[in-house]
Amino acid sequence: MATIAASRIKRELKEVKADAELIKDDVSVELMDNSYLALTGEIPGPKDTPYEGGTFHLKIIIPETYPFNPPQVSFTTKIWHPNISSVTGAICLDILKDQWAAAMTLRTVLLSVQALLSLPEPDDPQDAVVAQQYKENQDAYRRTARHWACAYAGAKSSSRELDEKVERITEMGFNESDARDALSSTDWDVGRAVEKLMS
Amino acid sequence: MALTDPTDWPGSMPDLRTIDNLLRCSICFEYLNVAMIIPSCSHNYCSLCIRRYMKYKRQCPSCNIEVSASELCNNRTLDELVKTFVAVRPYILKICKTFDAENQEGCPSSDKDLKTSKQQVKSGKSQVFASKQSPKKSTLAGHFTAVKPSKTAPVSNSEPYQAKTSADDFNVLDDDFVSPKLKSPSRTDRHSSNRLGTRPADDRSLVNQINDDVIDITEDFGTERPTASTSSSPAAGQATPIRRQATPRSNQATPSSNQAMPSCSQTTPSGSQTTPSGSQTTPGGSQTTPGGSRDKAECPVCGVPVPTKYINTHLDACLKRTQQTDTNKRIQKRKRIPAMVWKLVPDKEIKKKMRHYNLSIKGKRHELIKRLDEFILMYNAQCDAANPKSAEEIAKEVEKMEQLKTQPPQLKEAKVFKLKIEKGQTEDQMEKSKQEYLSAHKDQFSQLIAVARARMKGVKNKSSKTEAAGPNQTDASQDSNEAETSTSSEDSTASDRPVGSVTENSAVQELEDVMVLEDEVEKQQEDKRIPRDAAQDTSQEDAESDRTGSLFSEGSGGEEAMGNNGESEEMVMDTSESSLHMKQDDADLMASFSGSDVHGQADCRILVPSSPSVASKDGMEDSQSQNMTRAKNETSSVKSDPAPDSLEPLCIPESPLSVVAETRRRKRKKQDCGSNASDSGSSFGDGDNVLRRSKRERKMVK
Repeated sequence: MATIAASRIKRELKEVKADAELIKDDVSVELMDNSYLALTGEIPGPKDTPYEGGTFHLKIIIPETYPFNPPQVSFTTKIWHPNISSVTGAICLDILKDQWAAAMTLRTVLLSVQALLSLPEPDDPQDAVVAQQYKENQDAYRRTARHWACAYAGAKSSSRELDEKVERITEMGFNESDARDALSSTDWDVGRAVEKLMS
Repeated sequence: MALTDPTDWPGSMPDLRTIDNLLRCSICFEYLNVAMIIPSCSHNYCSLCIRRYMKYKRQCPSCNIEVSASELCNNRTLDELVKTFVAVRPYILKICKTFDAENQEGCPSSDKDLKTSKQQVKSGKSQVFASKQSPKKSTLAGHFTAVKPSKTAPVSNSEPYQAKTSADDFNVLDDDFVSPKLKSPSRTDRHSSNRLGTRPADDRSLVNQINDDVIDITEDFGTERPTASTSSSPAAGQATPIRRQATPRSNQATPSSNQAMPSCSQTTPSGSQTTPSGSQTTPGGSQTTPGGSRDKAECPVCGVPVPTKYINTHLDACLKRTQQTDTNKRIQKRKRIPAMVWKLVPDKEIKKKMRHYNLSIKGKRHELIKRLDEFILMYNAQCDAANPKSAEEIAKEVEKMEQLKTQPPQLKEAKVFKLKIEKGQTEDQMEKSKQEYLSAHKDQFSQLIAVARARMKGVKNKSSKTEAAGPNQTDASQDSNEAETSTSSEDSTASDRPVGSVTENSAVQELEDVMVLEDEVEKQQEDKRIPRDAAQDTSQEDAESDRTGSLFSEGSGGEEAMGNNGESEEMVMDTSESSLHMKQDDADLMASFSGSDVHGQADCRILVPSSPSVASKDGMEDSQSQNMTRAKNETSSVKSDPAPDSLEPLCIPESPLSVVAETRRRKRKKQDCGSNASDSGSSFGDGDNVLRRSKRERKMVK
């Protein structure tokens, strides 16, 4: 079975690399080592989403029982999304959990993750803070997600205002990413963010 | 076989990629191996894959529809398709690749071709030919027809293959060709009856053929009949049952054959019936004209109209026949092993089952269950195959796979050097192989020694504490403390010795001895019929000593103290001698093993207050070997309990490490069967137990 996993991953890699749709989308997968049990993925932020222009990196761990069990996929790039933990990068996606089926492949997984970016599911959240923001203040969510995409995923045209707020807090002697986390979870209210950082 | 992939096909031929993909199992991505279809959604998977998947989820892996293992059906058409495609694949691939390359190179020229071909069409040449000339067509048919007339390399390559396949086809037909007398009818009939269950697609055409044949036969009946009615000719005998099988199908197909059939089916049900049916055939021939079914009733089994006079005899024969075919089918299909709830099955039952299937019963319960589960899975999957593998083959496969899995990848890749000493070898040869083994595993030995030394230092400090507490120990805490003291004393003995290349060599020598011994024992164990005299003797002794041990158990604390004070030196001498004695006795491996253990533990207790240097001389070899053993098992925790039950054997085969682990494991096994006698015996410091194996020792104690 271990043998099934390795030979399947070999084939799936080929498939992903030959797939015209994925190539067009700049979705790619690479091996982390020669074991075929750990891979890195790369997906671009979908168009017409706050993530557009960013490149998000994924870590894909293939269990030995693959394809009977789903691969463990998580974001290594920090991302602001209701279904992705802003701290660990863990993804809440049904096909990576109980809805996994053996006929699914790396290709379908990557496409599903990409689809998740454009269609968040706030009712089944991984990150409660983000999900709440998404539900209560869509605009704040979009701005935050955009800001995060610019800060971590290399997207361009971030809003000046948010950058300045982060800068103000970092000037107080806080870590930049901590500052960003605090501001994001307080709807960019500097006062509350500082309070949160101090506590 | 190299890993094949749908992407092997050139991108310009997506259809071929699709075909390739469709013939693969979407679980393992290999070509379907014994395809099973899920009737409710028509998805196909390898039998093994889908059954394995069912252990995780009872759903179709593609569409998540609920399904159970019992619903799966064979899809033999697909099997045949896969088989054929895999055989043809390299040829098609070759053709496609060369064609693709040509197409890319000669793109402009092909355009020209196209033009000229168009002109040709205009000039009145056949259009079919023109389309053949055009390589622009991207369909599969286009490819092949385009390649053929060009007479390039691929064609010459493909020609032998085509010849071969046609020959093969011919063979198939030849096999089916049973009775030369009946010629084509018998052939097609047999063909259909053999394959009908698996080839529904062929049915319609075959039925039509059969109908034609039936008419042929009835027309020829005038010439055939004499042989049939006498039933002396083997050809007729062969032909008739075949006819009969085809009957119901052709019945449904056309009414004309309906009437033709009874005449044939009635010809030879059995010896007794030949006369009536034979007499019936004559009107049967005339009854091909419709409307002649006046005194006839339809048989409820085969649906054939039979004269009412004979309906009962016919019915009997009919029922008998269907029963026979039913049992035949049942025999043909191997029965699956039912699933078990392992939690409810006792060890004994599991082992019994495993022995029944020739599976090895090594390992712990969960390992056994895993192995048996895997076997049942593969066995059940094989039950679906047209020609299932035998249980022995599957058992071998399961064990092979398990070995592959348990082997750590680094060791699998590294070249493993095994010490080979055989019975017929001369001493020089043995010496030579020993030297080779030593040099090959020098690193591992030095590593072991280093680990042991590091451990020594750590334990030394603790040992002094336990020594102080030793005599006052209560029974309950005795075992664990004992463990500690035993290791500590071993360590101290080892630490007193000069360590270096000499140590290493002696340790190695020791290990080798053990290994040679083990080989011998292994041979014995392989043949279970041969009683292991030595081992049995000792185990009996163990049992005895167990009894004596339990007698002493209550006063063990005091016993220990006494041993410490009075008899220490004498005891040391005894035990060491016993161990040496045991070592000389090569055949009695068990004794040497448990002896060494006993010795080590006895040593520690006795030696605790007295000087460790005495022991260092005597118990040197034993404690060294134990050090090595423990070094493997206790690298992480110095304090871990050296009681045999707690030690997990590490399975790293064919290296010194594994030898040590193996030694340990064997020892444990033996001790288990000796009902831990040596343990309990030695733990009480009872002289009889320690020295029970040598008469000389016994004398000394008395």
